[in-house]
Amino acid sequence: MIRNAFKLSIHYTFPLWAGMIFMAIAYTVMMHSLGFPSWYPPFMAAFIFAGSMEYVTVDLLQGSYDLLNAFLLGFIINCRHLFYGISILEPYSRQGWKKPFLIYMLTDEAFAINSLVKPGDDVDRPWFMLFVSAWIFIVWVGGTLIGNVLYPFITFDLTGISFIMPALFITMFFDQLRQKRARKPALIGLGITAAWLLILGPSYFIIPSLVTFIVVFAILRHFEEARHD
Amino acid sequence: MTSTEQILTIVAVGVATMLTRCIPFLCFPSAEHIPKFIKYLSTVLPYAMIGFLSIYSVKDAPFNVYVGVPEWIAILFMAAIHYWRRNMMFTMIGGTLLYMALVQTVFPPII
Repeated sequence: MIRNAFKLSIHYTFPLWAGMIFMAIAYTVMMHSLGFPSWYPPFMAAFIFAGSMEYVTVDLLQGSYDLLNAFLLGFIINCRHLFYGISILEPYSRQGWKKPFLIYMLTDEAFAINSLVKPGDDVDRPWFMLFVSAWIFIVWVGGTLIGNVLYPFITFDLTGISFIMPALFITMFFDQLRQKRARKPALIGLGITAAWLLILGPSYFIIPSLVTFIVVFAILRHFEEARHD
Repeated sequence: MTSTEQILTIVAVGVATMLTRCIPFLCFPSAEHIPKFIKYLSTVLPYAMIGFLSIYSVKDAPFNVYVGVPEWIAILFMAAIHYWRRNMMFTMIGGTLLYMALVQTVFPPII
């Protein structure tokens, strides 16, 4: 049911809207204040479509011209998408014309909702996944357009509203602690990432964490198979 | 940087980002021929990546002047109300409102 998929996609993405719009406005205002043309924020939002990377790109644009550095930084910061792709390979693979759109719009938030929410039989899951991705895209790009128009008039204090993003992931994490199948991998993911963050700091922990995941899960699988034999 | 160089920089970042999204699907174009280990990973990684994202999304907090105290307060509050109500939206919005109140009063951003 496409209509139910549409409704459910609003139910799951709605809590994110305010936070995303605010972050898009904040980012647009920041680019304005640095003197960049007003079409940059919507162009970057639609073309890069990865919030944290867009902030990093603003730094890059202020530095010296180095295309290889920009490319490598983009690849390294976003290499977590490789893991989303592997995780969501099966649900995304049989979707025909929807597949390229789903892949293009594979963000942290779309991944979190689409990989974990398994709607009931009265909901068309491919459409649900597409609607979820599209809402995130529309709200994020739309936010930069709103920012272009509204930024001189914003007077109320929304400091801290960006916490809605961690709140989404952490709430999903809490939910997983109550599911028997999810608890162990969720705790392994959190523990490894936290350890590397504390050892290496916020700039260098991503790749070591992801590599450690592969190693730890390979070892775990080896032991699980040995136990079954 | 000239504006052409700026646009090329944005394009380089965009192409790199797009590659990270496409590579798994280019390596395994059909769902039928996925190696066993990749299949196994696809059963555990979604959960592990939520653990990863929970840390990644607050990665700068432990290193600022407040050493993550407002984040910890909001997260503990979220744990409590999630245990109580078990309603995702309630937990998310409750935690965010408390966090906003904290960073706007007790822990103002240091510029």
